[in-house]
Amino acid sequence: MDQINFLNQDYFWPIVFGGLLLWLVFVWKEWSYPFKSRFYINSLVGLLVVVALIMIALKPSIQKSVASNIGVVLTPGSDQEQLDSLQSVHEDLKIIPYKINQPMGKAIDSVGSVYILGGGLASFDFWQLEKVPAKIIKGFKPRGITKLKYAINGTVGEEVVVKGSYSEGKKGNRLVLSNPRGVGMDSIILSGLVQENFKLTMDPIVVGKFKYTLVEKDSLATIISSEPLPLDVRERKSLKILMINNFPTFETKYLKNYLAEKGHQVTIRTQLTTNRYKYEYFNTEQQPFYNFTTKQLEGYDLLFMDFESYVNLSKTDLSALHHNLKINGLGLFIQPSATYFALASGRSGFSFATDKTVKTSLPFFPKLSVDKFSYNFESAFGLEIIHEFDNQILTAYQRMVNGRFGTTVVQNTYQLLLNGHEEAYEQFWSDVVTVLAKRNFEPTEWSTSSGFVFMDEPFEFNIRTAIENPEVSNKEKLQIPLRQDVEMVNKWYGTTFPSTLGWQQLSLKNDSLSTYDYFVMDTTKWKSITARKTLEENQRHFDGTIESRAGSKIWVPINQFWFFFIFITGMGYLWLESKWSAK
Amino acid sequence: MIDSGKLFLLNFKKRWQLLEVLAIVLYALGPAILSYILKSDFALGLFLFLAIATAIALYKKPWRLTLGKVSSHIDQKYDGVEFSTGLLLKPMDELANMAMLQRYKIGEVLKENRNTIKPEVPIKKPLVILLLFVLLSFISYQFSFQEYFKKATGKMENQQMVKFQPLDSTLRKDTPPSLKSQKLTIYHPSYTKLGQTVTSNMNIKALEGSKLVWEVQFDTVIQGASIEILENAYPMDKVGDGYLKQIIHTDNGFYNFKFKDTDGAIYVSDLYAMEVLKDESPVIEIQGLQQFTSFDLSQHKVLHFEVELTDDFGVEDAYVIATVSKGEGESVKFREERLTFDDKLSAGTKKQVLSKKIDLDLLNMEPGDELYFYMVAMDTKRPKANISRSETFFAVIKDTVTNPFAVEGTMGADLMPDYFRSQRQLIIDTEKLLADQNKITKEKFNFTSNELGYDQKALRIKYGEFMGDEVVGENPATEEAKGDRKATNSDLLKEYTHDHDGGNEHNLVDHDHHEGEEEKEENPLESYLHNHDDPEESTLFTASIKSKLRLAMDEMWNAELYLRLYTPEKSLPYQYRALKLIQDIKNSARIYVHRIGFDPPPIKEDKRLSGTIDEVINYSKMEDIAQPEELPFIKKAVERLERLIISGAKLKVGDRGLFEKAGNELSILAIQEPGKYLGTLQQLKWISERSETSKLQLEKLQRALLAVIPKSKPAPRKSNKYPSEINELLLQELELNDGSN
Repeated sequence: MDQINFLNQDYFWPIVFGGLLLWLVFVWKEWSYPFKSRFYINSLVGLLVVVALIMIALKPSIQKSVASNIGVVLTPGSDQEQLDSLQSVHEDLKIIPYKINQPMGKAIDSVGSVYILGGGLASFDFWQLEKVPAKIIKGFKPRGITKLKYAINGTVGEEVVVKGSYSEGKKGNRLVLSNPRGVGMDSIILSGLVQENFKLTMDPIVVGKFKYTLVEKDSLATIISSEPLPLDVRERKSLKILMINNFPTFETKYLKNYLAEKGHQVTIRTQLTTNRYKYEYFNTEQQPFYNFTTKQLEGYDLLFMDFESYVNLSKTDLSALHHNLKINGLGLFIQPSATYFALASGRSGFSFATDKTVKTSLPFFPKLSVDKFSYNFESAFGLEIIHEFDNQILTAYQRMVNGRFGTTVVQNTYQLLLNGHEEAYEQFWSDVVTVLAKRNFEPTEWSTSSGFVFMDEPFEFNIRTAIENPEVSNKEKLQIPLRQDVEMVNKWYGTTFPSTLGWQQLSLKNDSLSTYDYFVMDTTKWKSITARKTLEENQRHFDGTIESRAGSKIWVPINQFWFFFIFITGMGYLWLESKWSAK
Repeated sequence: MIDSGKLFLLNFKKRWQLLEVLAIVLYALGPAILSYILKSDFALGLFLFLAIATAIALYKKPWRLTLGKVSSHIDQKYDGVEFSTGLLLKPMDELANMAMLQRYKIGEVLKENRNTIKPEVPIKKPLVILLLFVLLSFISYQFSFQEYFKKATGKMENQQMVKFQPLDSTLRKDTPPSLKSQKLTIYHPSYTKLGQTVTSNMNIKALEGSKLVWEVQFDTVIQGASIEILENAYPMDKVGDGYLKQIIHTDNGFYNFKFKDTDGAIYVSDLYAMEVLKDESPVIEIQGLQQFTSFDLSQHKVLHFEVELTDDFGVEDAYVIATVSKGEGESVKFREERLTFDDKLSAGTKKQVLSKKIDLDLLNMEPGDELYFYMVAMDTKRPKANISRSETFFAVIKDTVTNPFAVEGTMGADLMPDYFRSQRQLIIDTEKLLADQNKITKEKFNFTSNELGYDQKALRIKYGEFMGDEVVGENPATEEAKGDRKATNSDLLKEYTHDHDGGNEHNLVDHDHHEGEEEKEENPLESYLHNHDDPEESTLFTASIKSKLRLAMDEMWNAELYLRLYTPEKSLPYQYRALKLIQDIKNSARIYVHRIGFDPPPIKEDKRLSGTIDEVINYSKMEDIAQPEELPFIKKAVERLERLIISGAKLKVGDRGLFEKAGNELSILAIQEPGKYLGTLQQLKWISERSETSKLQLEKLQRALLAVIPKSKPAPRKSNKYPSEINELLLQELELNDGSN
């Protein structure tokens, strides 16, 4: 019995017993005393028929030693020439066709090792080659947009940058980033290089979930391909800003107007004289700011302070401020004056070098000239740049655990406004404020490694959350099982198989505010990217050398045809025999 | 037998008259046909026909044709009748035998020639004219001249019937109710005296305050009709068969009609624009008047001017507001008067010219007094008239006392005579000379250059006086002066030299007396000098200023040299340097004054801001100046449309309200640029009213709305972050290390 095995081993005895009974019926049917040779022959034939039937039901398989031949799996994109040259090397090469999401079956079992030709197997089909040593043969190159990077979550009014790389584009073709209704917002013309990087930008103007598209057109503006770029555009969140000034300046005046007009809650305290202050509240209720206590500072996201106020802070004030920076993530911007730059780096927080130039430009408006102090930032460890022009760091900040404190060497930026360069002014301060301001700490962070999500294909996501035992459910309120990371207790992995197209949502049961939106598309989209990813995964996974499995044995089911043959022949004989004998 | 001749004559007369009438008809028919073709108005054609026919008939008077006339015509035209047709008219018993015979003969002749004798009516001419008109009509019909004609007349507007579309296609009938008639009456405000305009064109362009009355009639019975203006619906009143609504026209906007038929199906019309025209303010044009007029005391001090007033609906009133100011500075006094025009203003005329004479004496103005005046005009608009004001005009009687004009105000002493050219002026003149070099003759160029050289010398000598000594400034000057005199002898410079060059010098500078003792006595600076012991230092200026002035004079000397050599371009750099030095000197003079001023002792840092501040209080101000988001509903509509397009869902009840609000936002834009947005507005209206729409329509609408939204500007925002433990650890670690460094 070592040599034989049954697939339906569990039903062995009932089937054998049933077969025996069946045979006894046969024998009883033939029972005609005295026993003639016909009785013996018919009983024997009946036994054969019943055994064949039992075998059909039990599905026996026998152990066979694996043949040493080599197979080749033809995946999409395989090259005939490569196949030919493989065949010339290995004469008995076995060709195994591959279709995505379909088992290749026995063909794989019968070969000792396989080569993979073409773009490779989908990652969820890797299990099929688990037992067979496999190696992917290089040569396939996906064409089209093979790399793409952009943030699916945008903020209204904030530039969305779509970066990517195009393989073997046709010269003169045009890549157009289009809005949901196909109106072009940015475009580039392909130069026909083997590998070409591109960068397209746009400003989303409406809050909501949209399907932008990346369209390729030829020189006659005929659409060659159109791929979706889902984008979830969100509202800007407003900030609570505090400005502390020793005396009123134009810079503060214009800055506060700008920030307040954009809807932020701005509180300004300007010193009039000793212990007398002017308070201004914009878009917020009256809430005087008297002293630097942790509690007072807690509510603010960003603090603007002129240098004079900063140096005049008492030790306790300063420690409260620093505490808020470190623990609560408060942002601090020092509005500098010339004396600030002369301070020791320990006091100012930055190291500056004197510089003769007093004019510079902003990176986004290189033709515009702005005033600057005759100092420059010296690059140092931990210095993070906000604005840089011509290798000069204009605005920078440093982290203090969670908080950030920054300053600039640019001065009199309000001149930009007065000269009518509103956009430059707004861009400058918008960058500074956004970077420095306190972050909105979210209890849960969602991320995915899958990139685009396709229907009926696994979508893997992970969440980081401090919540114990998070429960994630999809739009249909079905819970998706999560797996916790072995090392990091806060990290959880999940996989779901989206079954409907369009925008879908995952939500966290324990935190109703935290949701994750993703766009499900069909598999005809973004083929070039999928191909590139598949290829890379295959190259990683099937990178080993091919060792033949010769010598090892595998179970091979006996072809059922033979049992059917015996059964039909036997039954036929029994049927015919009774007719003949009746004659 | 006897009567046959007369009968013929009577018949002939009838024939004549008939032909005459036919000719009249033919004449009148042509214009009538043409007018009918052009204006498609039967009544007008008929009227024209009758009018022309009557006119020609009255002229030709066919009914006045007598038998006598007929017989004399036949007599003249036909020899065969031997001038005897008259016999046929006479009673038989009045005739002699011969006459009887003749009469009989003539009767026979007439009978025989009945076909050849024709009445004298030219029938060909009216026929040709008629054909001409018919041809013209045909051409105008073929080339649609009538369209052009209709526009030109305006009165007979093409009936642009309001078209309705059902909101719900399921309830669509085979023959939906349609409009039988539509009428819009615009009652213009009474002050315009325009009366009313009746039109079938539903796009309204009317004066503010006009009353609009719509009257519509449907061919079948309907449940009710309303007018929707922006988001408001105004039901129309049923009056007789039709529906009527009246509204005072105040705002720009769009409207549409809506009605419900007996089955409850709702129909909506296209959108129509309502545009408000504002009554323009009167325009005041002043002729024959300078902005600023000044009179001498002895002059005839009268201002005479004409004012043209124009307004779109008539000027109601106009007058002049005059203000007289007396005195100066603190003691200035003003007196205001309202003056009427000399001509009588006829209220309500659109354009008129008024004249006005202002006699300054009549206003009791004295020397030094100033008159300011402006014209005011108001139009007939009610309830509040538009008022315009002209710019202000000035008239001054010159004061007899004048102030001396200072040339070098900052030099401490004002010593420059008026006719001195300053260094700056010299530079300007030199540059002008260089610029004109190509335009003027060489002689003139050289002459002017020499002139400038002379002026430069004069200036240098003048500055030399300030030096208080004769060391630097004088020698070249005197040499030059001498040289000049020599030059006149040698005649080399004669033609380029100004007559009083040198000769006039004694008027400017007393260089003749610069040398010797006299100079000191006449030195104009003498009274300002300190009489120090050291004569070298006995000057107005400190040593450095003195040396600067010396340098300046050296530069001036060089400048003069090149000017005299007719090379002003070489002279310019020296002039500039001289000017700069003089400026420096002036500035240092200022510093000198500053130095002797009050120099407060420095305040100790700790004393700063420590004065009495009891009355200084904290100040606090609260304001909400957040700018509202632009076009919020259009943006929301775009987002909603995206969801509808992707999901393919049907519109819900809430969407209707959203699209309506978006429509209101868009209509504000559409009023400014109707060509660009009206189509979108119409679509939005349809989609918001209809129960079902196709995906294509939604996409089209979204595309149009996306184009409306302006680009958003950069603005700061709060970003999100997940406080990862590992990050936190890293940052803290960094902080620790940073601290230890």
